Amino acid sequence: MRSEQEAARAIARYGDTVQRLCTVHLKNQADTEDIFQTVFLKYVLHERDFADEEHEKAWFIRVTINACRDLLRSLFRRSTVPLDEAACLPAPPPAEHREVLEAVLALPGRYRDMVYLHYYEGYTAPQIAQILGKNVNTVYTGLTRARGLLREKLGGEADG
Amino acid sequence: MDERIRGAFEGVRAPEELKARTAAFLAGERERRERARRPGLRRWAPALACLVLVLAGLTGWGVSFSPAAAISLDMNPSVELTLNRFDRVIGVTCYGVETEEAEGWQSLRFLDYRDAVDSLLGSGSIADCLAREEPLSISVASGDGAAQAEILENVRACAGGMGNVHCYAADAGQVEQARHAGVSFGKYQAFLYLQKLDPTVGEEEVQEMTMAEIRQRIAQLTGAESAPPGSGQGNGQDSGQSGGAQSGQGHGHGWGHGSHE
Repeated sequence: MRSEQEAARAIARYGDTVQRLCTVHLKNQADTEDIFQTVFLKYVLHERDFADEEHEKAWFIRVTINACRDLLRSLFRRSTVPLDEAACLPAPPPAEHREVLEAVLALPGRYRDMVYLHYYEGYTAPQIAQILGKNVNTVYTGLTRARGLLREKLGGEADG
Repeated sequence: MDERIRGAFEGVRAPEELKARTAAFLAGERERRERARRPGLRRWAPALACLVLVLAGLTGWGVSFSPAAAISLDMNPSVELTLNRFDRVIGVTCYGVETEEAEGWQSLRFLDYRDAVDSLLGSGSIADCLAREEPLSISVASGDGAAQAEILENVRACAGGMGNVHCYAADAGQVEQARHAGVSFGKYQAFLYLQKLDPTVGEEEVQEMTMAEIRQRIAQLTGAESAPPGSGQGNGQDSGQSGGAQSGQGHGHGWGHGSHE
Protein backbone atom coordinates (compact mmCIF):
# COMPACT_ATOMS: atom_id res chain seq x y z
CA MET A 1 0.00 0.00 0.00
CA ARG A 2 1.36 3.43 -0.94
CA SER A 3 2.19 5.93 1.80
CA GLU A 4 0.05 8.85 2.92
CA GLN A 5 2.54 11.26 1.32
CA GLU A 6 2.28 9.53 -2.05
CA ALA A 7 -1.51 9.64 -1.84
CA ALA A 8 -1.45 13.38 -1.02
CA ARG A 9 0.92 14.07 -3.93
CA ALA A 10 -1.30 12.13 -6.34
CA ILE A 11 -4.45 13.92 -5.20
CA ALA A 12 -2.72 17.29 -5.65
CA ARG A 13 -1.37 16.37 -9.07
CA TYR A 14 -4.24 14.41 -10.62
CA GLY A 15 -7.28 15.56 -8.63
CA ASP A 16 -8.28 18.13 -11.25
CA THR A 17 -7.85 15.60 -14.07
CA VAL A 18 -10.12 13.13 -12.29
CA GLN A 19 -12.64 15.90 -11.62
CA ARG A 20 -12.70 16.92 -15.31
CA LEU A 21 -13.19 13.36 -16.51
CA CYS A 22 -16.02 12.99 -13.98
CA THR A 23 -17.55 16.18 -15.35
CA VAL A 24 -17.39 14.68 -18.84
CA HIS A 25 -19.19 11.50 -17.73
CA LEU A 26 -21.25 12.17 -14.62
CA LYS A 27 -24.06 14.46 -13.68
CA ASN A 28 -23.72 14.94 -9.95
CA GLN A 29 -21.11 15.61 -7.31
CA ALA A 30 -22.01 12.59 -5.15
CA ASP A 31 -21.06 10.21 -7.97
CA THR A 32 -17.95 12.29 -8.60
CA GLU A 33 -16.92 11.86 -4.98
CA ASP A 34 -17.46 8.08 -5.26
CA ILE A 35 -15.24 7.96 -8.33
CA PHE A 36 -12.65 10.18 -6.66
CA GLN A 37 -12.35 7.84 -3.71
CA THR A 38 -12.40 4.75 -5.92
CA VAL A 39 -9.64 6.00 -8.21
CA PHE A 40 -7.30 7.17 -5.47
CA LEU A 41 -7.92 4.02 -3.41
CA LYS A 42 -6.94 1.98 -6.47
CA TYR A 43 -3.85 4.14 -6.73
CA VAL A 44 -2.71 3.55 -3.12
CA LEU A 45 -3.36 -0.17 -3.57
CA HIS A 46 -1.51 -0.24 -6.92
CA GLU A 47 1.97 -1.26 -5.86
CA ARG A 48 3.66 -1.54 -9.25
CA ASP A 49 5.90 1.37 -10.17
CA PHE A 50 5.12 3.63 -13.10
CA ALA A 51 7.73 4.12 -15.79
CA ASP A 52 7.38 7.92 -15.68
CA GLU A 53 4.89 10.70 -14.99
CA GLU A 54 3.24 10.32 -18.38
CA HIS A 55 2.67 6.65 -17.68
CA GLU A 56 1.22 7.53 -14.28
CA LYS A 57 -1.08 10.20 -15.76
CA ALA A 58 -2.33 7.83 -18.47
CA TRP A 59 -3.04 5.27 -15.75
CA PHE A 60 -5.19 7.81 -13.85
CA ILE A 61 -7.09 8.75 -17.00
CA ARG A 62 -7.78 5.14 -17.93
CA VAL A 63 -8.80 4.11 -14.41
CA THR A 64 -11.08 7.15 -14.04
CA ILE A 65 -12.83 6.56 -17.37
CA ASN A 66 -13.32 2.88 -16.55
CA ALA A 67 -14.65 3.71 -13.07
CA CYS A 68 -17.12 6.21 -14.58
CA ARG A 69 -18.29 3.64 -17.13
CA ASP A 70 -18.71 1.02 -14.41
CA LEU A 71 -20.77 3.44 -12.36
CA LEU A 72 -22.95 4.33 -15.32
CA ARG A 73 -23.45 0.65 -16.14
CA SER A 74 -24.42 -0.16 -12.56
CA LEU A 75 -28.02 -1.33 -12.40
CA PHE A 76 -28.36 0.29 -9.02
CA ARG A 77 -27.31 3.71 -10.10
CA ARG A 78 -29.85 6.34 -9.30
CA SER A 79 -31.44 7.76 -12.39
CA THR A 80 -32.36 11.05 -10.78
CA VAL A 81 -30.48 13.67 -8.79
CA PRO A 82 -32.09 14.41 -5.41
CA LEU A 83 -32.46 18.09 -4.54
CA ASP A 84 -29.97 17.93 -1.66
CA GLU A 85 -27.38 16.48 -4.02
CA ALA A 86 -28.12 19.06 -6.65
CA ALA A 87 -26.99 21.61 -4.09
CA CYS A 88 -23.61 19.85 -4.00
CA LEU A 89 -22.86 20.36 -7.65
CA PRO A 90 -19.51 22.10 -8.17
CA ALA A 91 -19.44 25.83 -8.77
CA PRO A 92 -20.46 26.60 -12.39
CA PRO A 93 -17.67 27.69 -14.69
CA PRO A 94 -17.42 31.35 -15.72
CA ALA A 95 -20.05 32.47 -18.25
CA GLU A 96 -17.61 32.71 -21.20
CA HIS A 97 -16.64 29.05 -20.77
CA ARG A 98 -20.05 27.70 -19.83
CA GLU A 99 -21.32 27.65 -23.40
CA VAL A 100 -18.28 25.72 -24.66
CA LEU A 101 -18.40 23.27 -21.78
CA GLU A 102 -22.10 22.66 -22.30
CA ALA A 103 -21.49 22.07 -25.99
CA VAL A 104 -18.77 19.49 -25.21
CA LEU A 105 -20.95 17.77 -22.61
CA ALA A 106 -23.81 17.67 -25.12
CA LEU A 107 -21.68 15.59 -27.52
CA PRO A 108 -22.41 11.86 -27.77
CA GLY A 109 -20.60 10.04 -24.96
CA ARG A 110 -18.17 8.25 -27.27
CA TYR A 111 -16.75 11.61 -28.46
CA ARG A 112 -16.47 13.41 -25.15
CA ASP A 113 -13.38 11.58 -23.87
CA MET A 114 -11.66 12.07 -27.22
CA VAL A 115 -12.37 15.80 -27.24
CA TYR A 116 -11.17 16.25 -23.66
CA LEU A 117 -8.02 14.18 -24.17
CA HIS A 118 -7.17 15.84 -27.46
CA TYR A 119 -8.08 19.47 -26.86
CA TYR A 120 -7.30 19.77 -23.16
CA GLU A 121 -4.68 17.13 -22.37
CA GLY A 122 -3.02 17.44 -25.78
CA TYR A 123 -2.87 13.73 -26.62
CA THR A 124 -2.55 12.67 -30.26
CA ALA A 125 -5.03 10.31 -31.88
CA PRO A 126 -2.71 7.25 -31.54
CA GLN A 127 -2.14 8.07 -27.85
CA ILE A 128 -5.89 8.47 -27.30
CA ALA A 129 -6.48 5.17 -29.09
CA GLN A 130 -4.04 3.50 -26.70
CA ILE A 131 -5.59 5.02 -23.59
CA LEU A 132 -9.17 4.27 -24.61
CA GLY A 133 -8.37 0.91 -26.15
CA LYS A 134 -9.83 1.92 -29.50
CA ASN A 135 -8.70 1.74 -33.10
CA VAL A 136 -6.70 4.85 -34.18
CA ASN A 137 -8.99 5.39 -37.18
CA THR A 138 -11.99 5.32 -34.88
CA VAL A 139 -10.37 8.11 -32.86
CA TYR A 140 -9.64 10.16 -35.99
CA THR A 141 -13.22 9.73 -37.14
CA GLY A 142 -14.59 10.56 -33.70
CA LEU A 143 -12.53 13.71 -33.42
CA THR A 144 -13.59 14.86 -36.89
CA ARG A 145 -17.27 14.31 -36.17
CA ALA A 146 -17.01 15.95 -32.74
CA ARG A 147 -15.30 18.95 -34.31
CA GLY A 148 -18.11 19.25 -36.81
CA LEU A 149 -20.76 19.09 -34.11
CA LEU A 150 -18.97 21.71 -32.00
CA ARG A 151 -18.61 23.98 -35.03
CA GLU A 152 -22.32 23.73 -35.62
CA LYS A 153 -23.08 24.72 -32.04
CA LEU A 154 -20.38 27.24 -31.33
CA GLY A 155 -19.61 28.50 -34.79
CA GLY A 156 -16.12 29.43 -36.05
CA GLU A 157 -13.25 27.21 -37.13
CA ALA A 158 -12.04 24.37 -34.97
CA ASP A 159 -8.29 24.03 -34.89
CA GLY A 160 -6.21 20.86 -34.94
CA MET B 1 -11.67 26.36 -30.85
CA ASP B 2 -8.72 24.68 -29.10
CA GLU B 3 -8.26 27.60 -26.79
CA ARG B 4 -11.95 27.87 -26.00
CA ILE B 5 -12.22 24.19 -25.13
CA ARG B 6 -9.00 24.30 -23.11
CA GLY B 7 -10.24 27.35 -21.26
CA ALA B 8 -13.61 25.72 -20.55
CA PHE B 9 -11.95 22.66 -18.96
CA GLU B 10 -9.38 24.80 -17.20
CA GLY B 11 -12.22 26.23 -15.13
CA VAL B 12 -13.19 22.78 -13.89
CA ARG B 13 -11.20 21.97 -10.75
CA ALA B 14 -11.59 19.55 -7.91
CA PRO B 15 -12.89 21.36 -4.82
CA GLU B 16 -10.37 21.46 -1.96
CA GLU B 17 -13.00 19.91 0.37
CA LEU B 18 -13.29 16.95 -1.98
CA LYS B 19 -9.53 16.49 -1.98
CA ALA B 20 -9.46 16.71 1.83
CA ARG B 21 -12.33 14.22 2.20
CA THR B 22 -10.62 11.81 -0.19
CA ALA B 23 -7.34 12.09 1.75
CA ALA B 24 -9.23 11.38 5.00
CA PHE B 25 -11.01 8.44 3.36
CA LEU B 26 -7.70 6.97 2.22
CA ALA B 27 -6.19 7.40 5.69
CA GLY B 28 -9.20 5.61 7.20
CA GLU B 29 -8.94 2.80 4.64
CA ARG B 30 -5.23 2.43 5.34
CA GLU B 31 -5.85 2.17 9.09
CA ARG B 32 -8.72 -0.28 8.61
CA ARG B 33 -6.64 -2.53 6.36
CA GLU B 34 -3.63 -2.42 8.67
CA ARG B 35 -5.83 -3.25 11.65
CA ALA B 36 -7.33 -6.16 9.75
CA ARG B 37 -3.85 -7.40 8.95
CA ARG B 38 -2.77 -7.21 12.61
CA PRO B 39 -3.24 -10.44 14.51
CA GLY B 40 -5.54 -9.89 17.42
CA LEU B 41 -8.45 -11.23 19.32
CA ARG B 42 -10.94 -9.41 17.08
CA ARG B 43 -9.53 -11.09 14.02
CA TRP B 44 -9.97 -14.50 15.60
CA ALA B 45 -13.32 -13.67 17.21
CA PRO B 46 -15.48 -15.49 14.62
CA ALA B 47 -13.26 -18.57 14.79
CA LEU B 48 -13.25 -18.45 18.60
CA ALA B 49 -17.03 -18.08 18.67
CA CYS B 50 -17.35 -21.16 16.45
CA LEU B 51 -14.91 -23.05 18.67
CA VAL B 52 -16.91 -22.15 21.79
CA LEU B 53 -20.11 -23.35 20.12
CA VAL B 54 -18.49 -26.60 19.05
CA LEU B 55 -17.05 -27.17 22.53
CA ALA B 56 -20.40 -26.38 24.14
CA GLY B 57 -22.06 -28.83 21.78
CA LEU B 58 -19.47 -31.52 22.47
CA THR B 59 -19.73 -30.93 26.23
CA GLY B 60 -23.51 -31.17 26.08
CA TRP B 61 -23.24 -34.28 23.96
CA GLY B 62 -20.66 -35.73 26.34
CA VAL B 63 -22.79 -35.03 29.41
CA SER B 64 -25.86 -36.47 27.72
CA PHE B 65 -24.08 -39.68 26.86
CA SER B 66 -21.94 -40.12 29.98
CA PRO B 67 -23.18 -42.90 32.26
CA ALA B 68 -24.13 -41.54 35.68
CA ALA B 69 -26.07 -44.48 37.12
CA ALA B 70 -27.24 -47.96 36.25
CA ILE B 71 -30.25 -50.11 37.12
CA SER B 72 -30.06 -53.87 36.85
CA LEU B 73 -33.20 -56.01 36.76
CA ASP B 74 -32.28 -59.63 37.37
CA MET B 75 -34.28 -62.80 37.24
CA ASN B 76 -33.86 -64.74 34.07
CA PRO B 77 -33.39 -62.78 31.84
CA SER B 78 -31.44 -59.79 33.10
CA VAL B 79 -31.59 -56.26 31.77
CA GLU B 80 -29.26 -53.44 32.67
CA LEU B 81 -30.26 -49.82 32.05
CA THR B 82 -27.51 -47.19 31.89
CA LEU B 83 -28.68 -43.69 32.83
CA ASN B 84 -27.23 -40.26 32.19
CA ARG B 85 -27.35 -37.48 34.74
CA PHE B 86 -30.65 -36.30 33.34
CA ASP B 87 -32.35 -39.57 34.34
CA ARG B 88 -32.58 -40.71 30.75
CA VAL B 89 -31.78 -44.25 29.64
CA ILE B 90 -28.75 -44.10 27.35
CA GLY B 91 -28.00 -47.81 27.15
CA VAL B 92 -29.89 -51.10 27.40
CA THR B 93 -27.82 -54.27 27.89
CA CYS B 94 -29.61 -57.61 27.88
CA TYR B 95 -28.38 -60.92 29.26
CA GLY B 96 -30.06 -64.23 28.48
CA VAL B 97 -32.79 -62.61 26.41
CA GLU B 98 -34.15 -63.73 23.05
CA THR B 99 -32.77 -61.54 20.27
CA GLU B 100 -36.19 -60.29 19.24
CA GLU B 101 -37.09 -59.15 22.73
CA ALA B 102 -33.63 -57.63 23.27
CA GLU B 103 -34.12 -55.57 20.12
CA GLY B 104 -37.52 -54.48 21.37
CA TRP B 105 -36.00 -53.32 24.64
CA GLN B 106 -33.64 -51.01 22.77
CA SER B 107 -36.67 -48.76 22.31
CA LEU B 108 -36.33 -47.91 26.00
CA ARG B 109 -33.35 -45.72 25.15
CA PHE B 110 -33.88 -42.02 25.84
CA LEU B 111 -36.93 -42.72 28.02
CA ASP B 112 -37.03 -41.52 31.60
CA TYR B 113 -35.80 -44.46 33.71
CA ARG B 114 -39.11 -44.60 35.63
CA ASP B 115 -41.01 -45.14 32.40
CA ALA B 116 -38.43 -47.67 31.25
CA VAL B 117 -38.69 -49.68 34.51
CA ASP B 118 -42.49 -49.51 34.36
CA SER B 119 -42.37 -50.80 30.81
CA LEU B 120 -40.04 -53.68 31.70
CA LEU B 121 -42.12 -54.73 34.70
CA GLY B 122 -45.36 -54.56 32.77
CA SER B 123 -44.57 -56.50 29.62
CA GLY B 124 -42.47 -59.19 28.02
CA SER B 125 -40.58 -62.02 29.68
CA ILE B 126 -39.96 -60.12 32.94
CA ALA B 127 -43.70 -59.59 33.40
CA ASP B 128 -44.26 -63.29 32.61
CA CYS B 129 -41.70 -64.32 35.25
CA LEU B 130 -43.29 -61.98 37.79
CA ALA B 131 -46.67 -63.51 37.00
CA ARG B 132 -45.13 -66.90 37.87
CA GLU B 133 -43.94 -65.32 41.13
CA GLU B 134 -40.29 -65.76 40.31
CA PRO B 135 -38.11 -63.42 42.40
CA LEU B 136 -36.82 -60.25 40.73
CA SER B 137 -33.84 -58.28 42.01
CA ILE B 138 -33.51 -54.64 41.08
CA SER B 139 -30.18 -53.11 41.97
CA VAL B 140 -29.20 -49.47 41.54
CA ALA B 141 -25.60 -48.30 41.21
CA SER B 142 -24.31 -44.75 41.02
CA GLY B 143 -21.23 -42.84 42.04
CA ASP B 144 -23.49 -40.15 43.49
CA GLY B 145 -24.99 -41.38 46.77
CA ALA B 146 -27.88 -38.90 46.74
CA ALA B 147 -28.81 -39.74 43.17
CA GLN B 148 -28.56 -43.44 43.95
CA ALA B 149 -30.93 -43.08 46.92
CA GLU B 150 -33.42 -41.12 44.82
CA ILE B 151 -33.34 -43.62 41.95
CA LEU B 152 -33.71 -46.48 44.40
CA GLU B 153 -36.73 -44.80 45.95
CA ASN B 154 -38.34 -44.25 42.56
CA VAL B 155 -37.62 -47.80 41.42
CA ARG B 156 -39.23 -49.09 44.62
CA ALA B 157 -42.25 -46.97 43.80
CA CYS B 158 -42.39 -48.51 40.31
CA ALA B 159 -42.31 -52.00 41.81
CA GLY B 160 -44.73 -51.12 44.58
CA GLY B 161 -47.40 -53.75 45.07
CA MET B 162 -45.52 -56.44 43.17
CA GLY B 163 -44.57 -59.47 45.16
CA ASN B 164 -41.11 -61.01 45.06
CA VAL B 165 -39.36 -57.84 43.90
CA HIS B 166 -36.27 -56.89 45.87
CA CYS B 167 -34.64 -53.50 45.45
CA TYR B 168 -31.23 -52.60 46.80
CA ALA B 169 -28.29 -50.29 46.29
CA ALA B 170 -25.25 -51.74 44.57
CA ASP B 171 -21.57 -50.87 44.49
CA ALA B 172 -20.98 -48.61 41.51
CA GLY B 173 -17.38 -49.78 41.29
CA GLN B 174 -18.52 -53.29 40.43
CA VAL B 175 -20.58 -52.31 37.41
CA GLU B 176 -17.52 -52.42 35.17
CA GLN B 177 -16.31 -55.68 36.67
CA ALA B 178 -19.72 -57.19 35.99
CA ARG B 179 -19.47 -56.14 32.35
CA HIS B 180 -16.10 -57.87 32.08
CA ALA B 181 -17.64 -60.97 33.60
CA GLY B 182 -20.44 -60.84 31.02
CA VAL B 183 -23.29 -60.61 33.49
CA SER B 184 -25.50 -57.84 34.78
CA PHE B 185 -24.16 -56.14 37.86
CA GLY B 186 -27.14 -57.34 39.89
CA LYS B 187 -26.21 -60.89 39.03
CA TYR B 188 -22.55 -60.11 39.62
CA GLN B 189 -23.34 -58.96 43.15
CA ALA B 190 -25.17 -62.22 43.73
CA PHE B 191 -22.18 -64.08 42.31
CA LEU B 192 -19.79 -62.31 44.67
CA TYR B 193 -21.97 -63.22 47.62
CA LEU B 194 -22.21 -66.81 46.44
CA GLN B 195 -18.46 -66.98 45.87
CA LYS B 196 -17.86 -65.94 49.45
CA LEU B 197 -19.98 -68.84 50.57
CA ASP B 198 -18.51 -71.23 48.01
CA PRO B 199 -15.10 -70.13 46.65
CA THR B 200 -15.19 -72.86 44.01
CA VAL B 201 -17.93 -71.05 42.09
CA GLY B 202 -16.51 -69.23 39.05
CA GLU B 203 -17.80 -66.51 36.75
CA GLU B 204 -18.36 -68.89 33.84
CA GLU B 205 -20.51 -71.13 36.00
CA VAL B 206 -22.61 -68.20 37.16
CA GLN B 207 -23.12 -67.01 33.59
CA GLU B 208 -25.00 -70.22 32.93
CA MET B 209 -27.10 -69.99 36.11
CA THR B 210 -30.40 -68.16 36.45
CA MET B 211 -30.96 -65.78 39.31
CA ALA B 212 -33.37 -68.29 40.83
CA GLU B 213 -30.63 -70.94 40.78
CA ILE B 214 -28.12 -68.57 42.37
CA ARG B 215 -30.61 -67.73 45.09
CA GLN B 216 -31.30 -71.38 45.61
CA ARG B 217 -27.56 -72.12 46.00
CA ILE B 218 -27.18 -69.25 48.44
CA ALA B 219 -30.18 -70.46 50.40
CA GLN B 220 -28.70 -73.96 50.56
CA LEU B 221 -25.34 -72.66 51.75
CA THR B 222 -26.65 -70.23 54.32
CA GLY B 223 -29.93 -71.74 55.42
CA ALA B 224 -33.19 -70.01 54.79
CA GLU B 225 -33.00 -67.92 57.93
CA SER B 226 -29.69 -66.30 57.16
CA ALA B 227 -30.25 -65.93 53.44
CA PRO B 228 -29.26 -62.51 52.17
CA PRO B 229 -31.87 -59.92 51.46
CA GLY B 230 -33.52 -60.43 48.15
CA SER B 231 -32.77 -64.13 48.08
CA GLY B 232 -35.63 -65.34 50.16
CA GLN B 233 -39.34 -65.57 49.73
CA GLY B 234 -39.35 -61.89 49.78
CA ASN B 235 -42.04 -59.45 50.32
CA GLY B 236 -40.20 -57.47 47.80
CA GLN B 237 -38.75 -54.35 49.33
CA ASP B 238 -35.37 -55.04 50.86
CA SER B 239 -32.98 -52.27 51.47
CA GLY B 240 -29.47 -52.93 50.36
CA GLN B 241 -27.96 -50.71 52.99
CA SER B 242 -29.46 -52.75 55.79
CA GLY B 243 -28.90 -56.02 54.00
CA GLY B 244 -25.16 -55.81 54.38
CA ALA B 245 -25.46 -55.50 58.10
CA GLN B 246 -27.82 -58.41 58.19
CA SER B 247 -25.34 -60.72 56.56
CA GLY B 248 -22.30 -59.72 58.50
CA GLN B 249 -19.92 -56.82 58.19
CA GLY B 250 -20.87 -56.04 54.68
CA HIS B 251 -20.33 -52.53 53.60
CA GLY B 252 -23.55 -51.56 52.26
CA HIS B 253 -25.36 -53.49 49.63
CA GLY B 254 -27.98 -56.11 49.49
CA TRP B 255 -25.69 -59.05 48.89
CA GLY B 256 -23.64 -58.44 52.04
CA HIS B 257 -20.46 -57.98 50.16
CA GLY B 258 -17.91 -58.05 52.95
CA SER B 259 -16.51 -60.47 55.43
CA HIS B 260 -19.07 -62.81 56.91
CA GLU B 261 -18.55 -64.15 60.35
